Amino acid sequence: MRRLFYSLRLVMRSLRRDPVYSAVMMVTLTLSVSLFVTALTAFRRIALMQQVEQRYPGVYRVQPGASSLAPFYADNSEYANIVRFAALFLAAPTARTLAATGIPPAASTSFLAQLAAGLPGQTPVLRPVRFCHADLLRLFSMPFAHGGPWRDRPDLAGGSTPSRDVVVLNAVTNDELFGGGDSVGRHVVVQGRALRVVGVLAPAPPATRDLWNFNPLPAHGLLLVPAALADDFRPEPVPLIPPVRPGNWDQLAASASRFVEVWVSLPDADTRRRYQQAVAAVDAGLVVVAADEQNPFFNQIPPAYTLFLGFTTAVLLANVLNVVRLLLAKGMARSAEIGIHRALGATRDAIFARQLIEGVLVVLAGSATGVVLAVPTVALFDRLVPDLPTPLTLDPSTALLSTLVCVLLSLLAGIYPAWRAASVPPTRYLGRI
Amino acid sequence: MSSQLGPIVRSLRRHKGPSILLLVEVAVGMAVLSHLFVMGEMYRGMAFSRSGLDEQNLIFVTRHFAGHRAPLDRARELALADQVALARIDGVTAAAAVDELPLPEIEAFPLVLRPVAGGLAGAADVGNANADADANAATAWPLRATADVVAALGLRGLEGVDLTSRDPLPSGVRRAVITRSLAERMFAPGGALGRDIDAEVMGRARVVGVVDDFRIRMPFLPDTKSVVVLADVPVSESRLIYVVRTQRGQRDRVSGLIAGVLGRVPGGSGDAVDVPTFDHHAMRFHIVARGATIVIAWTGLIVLGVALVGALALASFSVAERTRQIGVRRALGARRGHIVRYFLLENAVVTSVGLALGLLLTMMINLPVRRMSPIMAVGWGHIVTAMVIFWGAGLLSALVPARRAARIPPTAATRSL
Repeated sequence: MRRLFYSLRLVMRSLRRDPVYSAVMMVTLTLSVSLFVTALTAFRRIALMQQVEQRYPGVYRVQPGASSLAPFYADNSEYANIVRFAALFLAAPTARTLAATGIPPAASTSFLAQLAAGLPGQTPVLRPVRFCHADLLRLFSMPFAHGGPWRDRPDLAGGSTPSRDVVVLNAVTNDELFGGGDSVGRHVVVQGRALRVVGVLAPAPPATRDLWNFNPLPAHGLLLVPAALADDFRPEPVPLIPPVRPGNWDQLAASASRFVEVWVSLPDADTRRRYQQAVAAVDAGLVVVAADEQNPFFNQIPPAYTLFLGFTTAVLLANVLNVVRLLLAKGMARSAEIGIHRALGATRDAIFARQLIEGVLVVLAGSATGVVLAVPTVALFDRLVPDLPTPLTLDPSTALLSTLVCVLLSLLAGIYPAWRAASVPPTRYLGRI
Repeated sequence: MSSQLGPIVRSLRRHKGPSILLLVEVAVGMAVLSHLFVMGEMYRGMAFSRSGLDEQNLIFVTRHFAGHRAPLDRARELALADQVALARIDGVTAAAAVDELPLPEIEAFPLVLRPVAGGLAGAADVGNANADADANAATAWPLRATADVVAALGLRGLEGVDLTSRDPLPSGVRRAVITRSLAERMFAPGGALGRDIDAEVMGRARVVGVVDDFRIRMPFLPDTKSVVVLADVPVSESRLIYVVRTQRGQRDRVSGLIAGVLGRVPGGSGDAVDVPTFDHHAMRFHIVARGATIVIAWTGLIVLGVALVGALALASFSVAERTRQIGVRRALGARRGHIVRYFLLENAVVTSVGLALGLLLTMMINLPVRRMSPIMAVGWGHIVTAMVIFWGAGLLSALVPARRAARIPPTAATRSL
């Protein structure tokens, strides 16, 4: 311990001997680290947002295969993301035909629209409304804070749907309309029609995405209503691919414009095989994809964030190379001094340790300052680039990860100069004394 | 100069470690800076781009059928009546009904348009025509609107531009106006007017005009300047949308009158009328693009700072390590200028080799980057600019230790410690 303190004193003396170089190293390192931590924070936040963590075994989506999309649309790499997104939806006539097969034990069509909704007697506002079957809530095991799903069956030929004027709210809408309490049994007016609340979904984990609800993040409100109400509400779905608007729900529901998602439960291989055959008979261009295979689509991080993290990492590494070079320069400049120390009995290990401590201290000091500076830097980044739905802040796990990276870099930065310095033979400079 | 290269190369070979580190640093820095230029250019373009519309004088109006659905024929009558009522407001230049608000930001999906053989010119060779159609197919953003939309949006006509013409068209063919970018992609120069296009589910349309480019919807997506405006009365059961262009300075006054005017249209009372204020500078993509430009510029400055420090470090190291040799050279008659030139030349050699490596590295890195984002192609302009900046920065930072070296006295040759 005494030797460690002695080494530390020597290191501080060495740093004070070249204050300008030490200061320059620290400043550039601090700036690079703060930029790196900012990029890492933004990257991890958006990666977390895109994550669909839950697994849904036996749940499948029917969607157009790439070959069934317009060739130009599919091949145009400029619109790769649009094409991938467009490939999630079917036209309503196709969805109805698929529903009529009756093969899956549970199934739901689902689409999103914006409708005027609010409390009775109050001015309604436009809110996202998802039309679906109750099976959607069961397929994705949506947890309820209050009540539960309504009861209906998919629209098979001749089937009936017992529940109609009902609605399930997500936690955000329930908070907005009813202050977060148990609103089961109360009413919400949607498009002039009173719907009874039968269930309230439990709050979703912050900043994550639901596979069954691609568009809004959980921070947004949502109402879920029976698909059978679509003919009454005559909504305008979003998105609508291609973007044609016949203007009339009947025409839209009969058109080739795609806006419907079809989810089914296929619990075993035999059911899957039969359903795939039935789907192929409806349209050879359709494919049946496991829900869990959708994750890569949603797990895409926008390239700008990946590139920003890559560039700031490269800048940080370049800065560490600078530190290595400056430490080398300092070591070489003090070769004679080191030679004398060796001649007077200092071991190679002691010289190595001393030089390593100097390198580690420099990088760690710059990194620590950089991580602290990253707090306002992240806040400034969030103000400049308000691209995320929730405020961006430096979280403890990212700070810890960044610190670990910096510790590793400090060791790497210190090792080579320390080794070079410790390799100076004591006799090289004795002849010059 | 050539006589100095030998000693420089020998010196660098003797201290391979620091030299290689600087080479790597210059190469990586140059690659990063080149890509930052591309990103900065892209975001700067977005931050300062304008839609091409007469934004200062535009009002967007939405009539919501809040509690009911309007039959389409009633909606059509109401749309035409609303348009007339809006156009008659004092201070209004033109008004048109549209199916989507062109601003501020809407998520929408493009159509694929293909030129149809013939049009006014009649049928051509079908085989070649089909091949031409696919080759000249273009992705375009569609907008359905009434004929006054060109005046209402303040579009600048380049050719034709007569959506109001009453010349008969074949059944099922609608009039269309396309932007310049779209015309250039689909047709030969000057060859757009009178040509038919196949607009997927929107049917067939005849190009009756070409307008100067304007942007709509999500500008982060490429090529939002390719717009096709189809003449139609765009109605839906749930809402009607209008764009109103006012005379200069009349926008706020007219905005306050619109709800009352539409409420007095026969059959139009009781509906919700939304007249949002539109502030160009508050548009999210502008704010994000401006912020991203600042972040990229700051990152570029740090890259440059790191490079400066790197060059400073190597030059300092060289000077410290060769104090005796410098003293000897001075003792043998070398002037201070010779010493300075020597170290600057040494720095230039290392930087030049590093930049050559950086060129290779930039091209290698750009391949996966372009796969991630096709618009991130690094051009020669970006590469040359990065090279020039690095070279200049390297020389500048080597100047300080070089001048310090020049001050080493000849007596340094006789010192041992």
